[in-house]
Amino acid sequence: MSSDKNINSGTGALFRSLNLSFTLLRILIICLLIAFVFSGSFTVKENEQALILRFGKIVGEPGNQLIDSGQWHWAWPEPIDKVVRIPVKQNLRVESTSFWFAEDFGNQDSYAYDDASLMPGRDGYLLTGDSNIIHLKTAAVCRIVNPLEYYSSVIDSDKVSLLKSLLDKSVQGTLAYWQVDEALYRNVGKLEGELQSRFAKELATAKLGVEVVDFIVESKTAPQAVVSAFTNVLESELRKDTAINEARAEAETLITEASGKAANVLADAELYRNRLVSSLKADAEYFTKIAKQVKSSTMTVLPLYSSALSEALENAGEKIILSKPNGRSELRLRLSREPK
Amino acid sequence: MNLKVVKHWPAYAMGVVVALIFILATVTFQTSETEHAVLIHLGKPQAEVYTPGLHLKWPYPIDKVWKADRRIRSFGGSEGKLEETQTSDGKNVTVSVAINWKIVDPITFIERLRTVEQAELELNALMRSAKNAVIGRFRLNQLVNTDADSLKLNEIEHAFLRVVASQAKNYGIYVQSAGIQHLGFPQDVANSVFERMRAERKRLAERYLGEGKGEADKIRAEARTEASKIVANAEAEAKMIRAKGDAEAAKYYAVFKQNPSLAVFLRKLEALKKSVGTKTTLILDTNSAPFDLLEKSPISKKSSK
Repeated sequence: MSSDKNINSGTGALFRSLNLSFTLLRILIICLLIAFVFSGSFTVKENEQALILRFGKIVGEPGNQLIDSGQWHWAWPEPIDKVVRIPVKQNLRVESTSFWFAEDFGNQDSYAYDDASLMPGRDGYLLTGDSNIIHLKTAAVCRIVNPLEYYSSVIDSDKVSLLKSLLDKSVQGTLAYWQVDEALYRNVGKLEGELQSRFAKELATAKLGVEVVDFIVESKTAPQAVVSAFTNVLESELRKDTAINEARAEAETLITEASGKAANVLADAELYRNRLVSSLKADAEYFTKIAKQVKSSTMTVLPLYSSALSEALENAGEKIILSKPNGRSELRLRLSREPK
Repeated sequence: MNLKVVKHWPAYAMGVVVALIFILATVTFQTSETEHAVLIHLGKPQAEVYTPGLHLKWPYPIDKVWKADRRIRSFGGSEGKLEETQTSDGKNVTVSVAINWKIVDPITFIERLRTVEQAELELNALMRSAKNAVIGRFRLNQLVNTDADSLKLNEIEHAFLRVVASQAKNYGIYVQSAGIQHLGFPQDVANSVFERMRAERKRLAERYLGEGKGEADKIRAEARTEASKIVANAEAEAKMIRAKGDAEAAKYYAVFKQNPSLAVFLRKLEALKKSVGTKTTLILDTNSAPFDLLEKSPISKKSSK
């Protein structure tokens, strides 16, 4: 009887514990269901657009498949739905170092690139239109303009390498008709413009959904083996410019001096003309007056004569008056008495 | 029994869900928008290429699903990248070419290649032979030239693309584009290019110095000519001005014709005033007026008489 009682109480305890377990399991399943439902909610970041793939197929009608940022969205959890995020506003930087030399100077075992030769496969370089060799490092900044095209055109792992490949193609294709001096020194701005335009064309042809927004020639140099020869040319060019500038300055001085001299000559001539005319005019007027007076009386000239004689005698520093009682006299003068 | 099921529905539901998931996972497969999928039934590829979505299949190992990305891949070649190629004018060059390709016929691709690695090996071989064949038809000055119109890089790329694409088609591959990535010279040729570059630079440096001197001399000579011209022109103009002055003065000379002897007399007086300065020594004799008074005093004469 007591054993029956024990069995009953044991069964009761087992029943209660099983009941509890099933209740907990129910709660767990409900929680899992809630978690499952909510795990599908997601947001799209400000610089992204997203696509939902349901069983691998893009959800939505063409033209209405991209999801923008700014609100909550819901998708079934994987493997039913998959959310593909595309960084539309983020800039993609692509660098081309294929035409640059290896710069590992610190490593003793490595080849030091200063001994006049290039190692194929390790030192990159470019051939220019005039069959010269240069090194060039470029970078382009790209932006995704068509997210759907960007997603569906190229496999994800090759997106960067394809952009780099197009960049290298653009650089080699452009430099193939450029002169070495133009590319290295004279027209770097124009070169950047042409490279950007060619790269933009390549991107458009490849239909990657990407456009180029900026292009930079990061570094450029002649090969180490000939860099001193290039420096000499630059120095010579500088000396040429200096010589020309000096000559121009001298020429300017010469022309200025000549202009000054010419101005003086003209001024002298004008002065002569004015002086002559005004002096003669005054003389004529004076003469007319005197002539009128002389007409009335010839004695009019006497005061003029006396006055002129007095003035001359007054001005003269030395006056020697010789008397000639016998009609013969001798005068000895020492010339150049004034000290020099 | 029914009461039991109702009472323990979570356990049953869980079991059903797990069983469903397992069954679905073994008899279905997904194809993405970016993939090709082909069923391989008992080791034999089936003819159907599946569109994006969920599809049914027999469980493994009866059916296996072969998938490959249908998007463009970039391949720059591997072996033979640095191999020398000869141009039609006998110049040795190294040319690297890259292609962009994708799988368009997955059945053929599986039959002939099956993996992307195998495809790249085949493509590499195609690219090497196409490169040698195409570059050999062009001259070096059609690869690099300062005259952009003489360049044939586009033609070379198109010819290369035609050759590779026509052969890659047999593998279910479409080659979308090809591009020359790098043009170079073999190492020994590159060294002789350096020698040439040095010689050219030297010539150029000398030319610049010569040009500088020549240009400077020219500028100076031109300036001297210009300066002489300016002065000569000014002198000529000055002569004209003086002549004008003389012409203007002439009308005043006419006045003096009224009484020429008076004019001469007045001129003489003027000349006398101007010519006798403070440092002038005048030597006169007593016959000259007014010093004649010293000898011929009217008073002394009268008294002596």
